[in-house]
Amino acid sequence: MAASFSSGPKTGVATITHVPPDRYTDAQLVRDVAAGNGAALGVIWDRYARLVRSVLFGAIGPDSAVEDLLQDVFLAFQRGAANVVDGGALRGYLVSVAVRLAALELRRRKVRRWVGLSATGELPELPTQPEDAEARESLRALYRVLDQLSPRRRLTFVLRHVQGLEMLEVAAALQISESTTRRELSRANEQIAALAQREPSLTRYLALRNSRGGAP
Amino acid sequence: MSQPDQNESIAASLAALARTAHERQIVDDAGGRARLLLHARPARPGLRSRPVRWLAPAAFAAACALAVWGLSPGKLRYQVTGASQAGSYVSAPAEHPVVVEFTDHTQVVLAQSSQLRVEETSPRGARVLLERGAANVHVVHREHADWTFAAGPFDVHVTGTRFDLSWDPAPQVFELTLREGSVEIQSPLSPAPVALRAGQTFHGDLALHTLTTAEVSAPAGSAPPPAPAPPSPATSARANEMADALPSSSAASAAAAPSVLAPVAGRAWPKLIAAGEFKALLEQANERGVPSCLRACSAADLSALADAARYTGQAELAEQSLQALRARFAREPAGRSAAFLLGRLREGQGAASDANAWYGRYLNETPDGAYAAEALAGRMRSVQKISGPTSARPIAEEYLERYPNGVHAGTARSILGLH
Repeated sequence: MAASFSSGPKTGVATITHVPPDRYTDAQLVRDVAAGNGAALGVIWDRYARLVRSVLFGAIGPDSAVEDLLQDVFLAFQRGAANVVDGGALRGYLVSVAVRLAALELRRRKVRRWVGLSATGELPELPTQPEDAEARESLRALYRVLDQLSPRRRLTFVLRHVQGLEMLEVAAALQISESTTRRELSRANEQIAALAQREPSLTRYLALRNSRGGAP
Repeated sequence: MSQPDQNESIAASLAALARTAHERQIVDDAGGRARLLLHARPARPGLRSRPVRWLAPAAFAAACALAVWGLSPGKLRYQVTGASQAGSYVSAPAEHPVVVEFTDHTQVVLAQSSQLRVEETSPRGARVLLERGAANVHVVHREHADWTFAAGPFDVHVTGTRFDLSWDPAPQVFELTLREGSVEIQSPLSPAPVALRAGQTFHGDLALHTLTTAEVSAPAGSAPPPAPAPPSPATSARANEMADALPSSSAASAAAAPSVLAPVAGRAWPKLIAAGEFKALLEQANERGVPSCLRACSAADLSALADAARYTGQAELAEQSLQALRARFAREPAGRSAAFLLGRLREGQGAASDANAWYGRYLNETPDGAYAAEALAGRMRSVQKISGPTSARPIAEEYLERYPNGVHAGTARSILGLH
């Protein structure tokens, strides 16, 4: 565990101030994880699981694979923590790992569709808060639309619009240039807008949202 | 509005749909965290995986500074697996037990939500204070070994033995069930130390000023002693199973025959969960017989069975396991957590009233438990579904007050119309 050491001004005896783990910097936590500290990994989970889950959920939708991938992201980080040079960039690192795993999952789904294991390539849905059938259908339709995008384009849309990441962060997570990111996003917007017109539930959702001034 | 702007607006609106769906998704954050830490555990540097090398003094000094090990050469050292450690203080989380292993192979398995303090170590043993909760102890017998386990005003002196210890400071109740060897217990309840032999239980109640010793199994002479192998995580898990399978050591139950679990082939179930081998665990459960497991398995095994069932989507088996935990271990941490998990299960099945009841039960029993935030959020969602958002407002307010940055703060604000 990290602790800060300082010399007492009069006695010269070292005093130790323990900092609660949840107040450690990311860099301290990364060092602790690399040293085998499970508690530090728990703090990182508390800090970033929501973000990473959100990236995964946005990328692949309400799917039972989300929780497994979430575990994979953190376990991958734990295994590679010793190689993380800039611990302060932990957020971006975790997002980029999540993006890579999500992209792999999207490719696996395509394979599942191709080989006929599943009509949609999707795994069983995760439990969600019961909501009206229309909302469920809209969500399904949205992911049908996203399924028609390339993984990179889809992830660009998710990171920028669903997660609200800055362009530079999106570019870093996808390991592409900022200009490529902008092009991908523009094409994603265009493709999604066109495909959404073919989904009745999405056109109803968009009309309803417009009539409410943007509220869902 | 230009076409690119229109496209962007549509994309942003659809992104909001995905965000809303994600906020409404039922997540098990605490369970996910526990699962991660269990999976991550094998990768941690451990007592056996970090052999002492010739340049170890510097590393050893650093380790001493961090209080991972004991304090000076010659004294026993110890390592904690499964929890963070602050000096000599060890606190087990609500999700899983913690193992404290000494360099003489003495092992203390600290039950969920229990705390202990290693007060001092010596070359011959240590003094361990159980501050609250329960522990399963195996002191390896050595000549001149000197161990003391304290809990409240009770001191247990041992040289080599296996026993289960529990101390609840609120009602001031102390219990010890001795499985092997002999111990002496000093307490203000008797003028002289009470000697206990294998198969006996000691129950001390300071508030009632009563002390009871009773037999819980066959006398020591006829009881086949367990194999004297050095303890390992697997054997400690087995010891836990044995401990959990015994009835409570009150005077009334002391006379009853213990329902000792049949030996289990293969690896301990919590270990299988940690390794992600859910299917292997379920296969073992089927071999053992699920109904008999529900009746006789330990709390740790039932929790593992419920986890494996949940992770593999077997809702019925998950519910049976959780109900068994509630029925048999309602006052233990695993039994209390089962109330939350049953709420989660019911909510996933669309049974909002049941879910609300289970969440409420969990919050009543464990208001500050590991799942308290999730249980409160579950109640908020369930009440909203049953009676509408107006009825859910007080719960949303409570949630925001307690967890202003919580995962479900967005949902709570939405119920309150804050955005």
